[in-house]
Amino acid sequence: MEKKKIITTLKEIAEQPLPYLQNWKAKTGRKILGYFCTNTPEEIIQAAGILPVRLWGSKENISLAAQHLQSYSCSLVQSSLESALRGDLNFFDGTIFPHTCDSIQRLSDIWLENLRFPFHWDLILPVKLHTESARVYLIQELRRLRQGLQEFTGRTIANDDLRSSFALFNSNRDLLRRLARRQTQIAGRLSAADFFALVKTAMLLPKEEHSAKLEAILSAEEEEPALLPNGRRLFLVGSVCDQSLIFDLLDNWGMVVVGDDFCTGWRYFSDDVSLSGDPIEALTDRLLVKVPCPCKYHPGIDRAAELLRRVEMTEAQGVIFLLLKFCDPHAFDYPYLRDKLAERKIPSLLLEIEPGGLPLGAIETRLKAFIETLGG
Amino acid sequence: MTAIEGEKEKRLKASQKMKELMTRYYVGAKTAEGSDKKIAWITSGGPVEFLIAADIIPIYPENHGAMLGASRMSVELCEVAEGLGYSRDLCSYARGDIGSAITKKSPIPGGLPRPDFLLACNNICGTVLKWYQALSRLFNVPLFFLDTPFIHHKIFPESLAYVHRQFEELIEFIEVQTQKKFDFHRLKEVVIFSSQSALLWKEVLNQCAHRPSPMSCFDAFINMAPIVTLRGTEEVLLFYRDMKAELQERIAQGIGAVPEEKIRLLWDNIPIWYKMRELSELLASYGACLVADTYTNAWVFEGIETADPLEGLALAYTTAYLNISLDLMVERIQDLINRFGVDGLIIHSNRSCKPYSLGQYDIQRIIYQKTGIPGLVLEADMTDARVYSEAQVRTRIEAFLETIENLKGGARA
Repeated sequence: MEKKKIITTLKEIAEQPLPYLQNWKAKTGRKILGYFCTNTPEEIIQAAGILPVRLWGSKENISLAAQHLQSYSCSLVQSSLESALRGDLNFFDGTIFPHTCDSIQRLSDIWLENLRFPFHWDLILPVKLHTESARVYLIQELRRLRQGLQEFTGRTIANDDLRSSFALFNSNRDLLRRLARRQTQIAGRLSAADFFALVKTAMLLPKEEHSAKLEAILSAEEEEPALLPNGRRLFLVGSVCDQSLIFDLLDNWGMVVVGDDFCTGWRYFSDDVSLSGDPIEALTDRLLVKVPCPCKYHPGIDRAAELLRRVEMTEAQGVIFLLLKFCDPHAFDYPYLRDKLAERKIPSLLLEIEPGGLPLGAIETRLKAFIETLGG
Repeated sequence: MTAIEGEKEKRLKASQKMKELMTRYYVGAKTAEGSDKKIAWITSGGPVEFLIAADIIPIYPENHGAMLGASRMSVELCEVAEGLGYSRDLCSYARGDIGSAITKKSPIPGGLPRPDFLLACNNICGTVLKWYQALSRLFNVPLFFLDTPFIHHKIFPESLAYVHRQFEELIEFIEVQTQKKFDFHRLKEVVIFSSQSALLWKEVLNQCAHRPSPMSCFDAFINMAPIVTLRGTEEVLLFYRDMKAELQERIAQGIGAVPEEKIRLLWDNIPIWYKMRELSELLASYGACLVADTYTNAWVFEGIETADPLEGLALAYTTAYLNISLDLMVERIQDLINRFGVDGLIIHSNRSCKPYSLGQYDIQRIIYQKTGIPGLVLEADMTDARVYSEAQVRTRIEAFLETIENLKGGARA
């Protein structure tokens, strides 16, 4: 029962994060910084005594943001700006924009031009991951962020602050990985909607609180009511994925989501930071070796080979690409990934998430048709 | 590329010479295909000086993309790429070029010559990384990726040091590709040619500050091909020397690009390649001339001749127009407005190019607030004609020009 209650609480926060965060800030008096992208080194923000919170965009209609952004920008970029312009994020102390794609890069400029937060930071991450020169540059860029946060808060971020922050994040990631491994099994697993709500809230709640909740869930003896034992096993691919409606659909149809390659999923918690050595170098090395997203360049890593390895390891029967419409980096990789899956006879389906939300009716039909082709 | 139609005597002689120059270049490159001479495909903002110095033929898929647009082959080839799964929302240069690489359809018989390797630099967008990764898989050739950290408001020495170090890595990469020792002295010579060409290109563009302007940006769009593709060679230097002389001659004779120049405009973003003639004629019919643009100015590199050539090149390639934040773009536009006496901005919101287009609405507003110069945003695409609305563009341009006429009339009265 306890487990169910915790999950319900987290799902509520996942659906409506802002009231929770506002309340948290009022209670603790601490600062909150919003960020985009899984490559943000949240650990430094935490070590500065600030709560790092991922910005997810909203599902409201776009009106204010349309005066600043063309209709061919993705839903994340449009709806985040909409929330900020509407004042929904006024209680945030600032925003960090890591260099990822062309759209986020310009969003930072537009944000700075039209909004006034106490803190605005462009973290100009390297795109390359495989050279010593990129590593040297990234170390300097992370040191610059550390310095910037020290100046903003007026307090020193000691190496020990960083290391305790790493330990906190590593243990949260470890819990998420344990949950993720369970998702490939039938017994004891969570529904897709529950699982992704737990992952989403990892990017919203203070780590101590979130980890405690995950531990309670993991240690709860009772198992989830058995899902359809013959549910087809699906693997999901995309960037930011906050589509609880799709997860609900899949759950209701008895589908089993056995793995993902989302920014807001596996790529968020797959890799840890080393607690030894210089902490900034350790953080740098995590960012260089973590599962890359399509915005990054590493000639030694083939995304298709990585995807196939994980799809086969999780024994998925089909792959669903849940891509944001107008997300260029993912759209460029899609034909290659799809073809490599097809070579191994793994069927896939592409669904595009449009600004303003999902056209659910059409998607439901296509999703259903796809699942029917997967066979028993 | 198509020449701007119009009264024959008004055509620039340079445009004809440019055609010959580019034909020689492409024929030479096609002949080299399969020979010992290496061919590299490179992005428009890439450091071509290293290739020229190593005697490697540079090929620009973006220039080819523009050719596909101007010759109206782009839509058909984009559809080929879309058939392979590339979204219609992706850059139409990339889609058109991928379609051409597969079908070999192109204004160049047989299409672009096959690359031996690829050189992509993200100082123009992140898209080139993805596009060149696709090309690398398609041709099964190596890719060198040059990462130029974006400049938000100010430049950090760490960024330049990173780019500088990557130039050294690029030299090592080129040595592996050519199996030859890289000639650093040759690079210095090439950088001098490149820097002088860029300076001449700037002087060519500067001629438009004269009233009436001796050419329009439509002429510049066409005649920019050599500075993009062949800078660092001596023939480009000679070409722009002649072009500048021709423009000065026109000024001396009082010849303007449009009859009775009344309105001077600035163009923002990549041209709409398949509508050059129509737009040129429409503007000319109102006595409106495009006298400045943010696009062709991107190839005005300054200060690259430094004692250590890598230092100057690192600064020039990192400060490219599409690698800087909106506030810095606004500064550059204001500078153009002042130098060229601009009455209005035509802002092409180019669906294909997010780094160039996102933020334009704010630029339009800021420029108006700071200078009182109005701007018009046109929603279109550089080569994908399917998203172009002829009637809408015409109506909006006409209304905009009438507004400027009224503003100017009011100012005089």
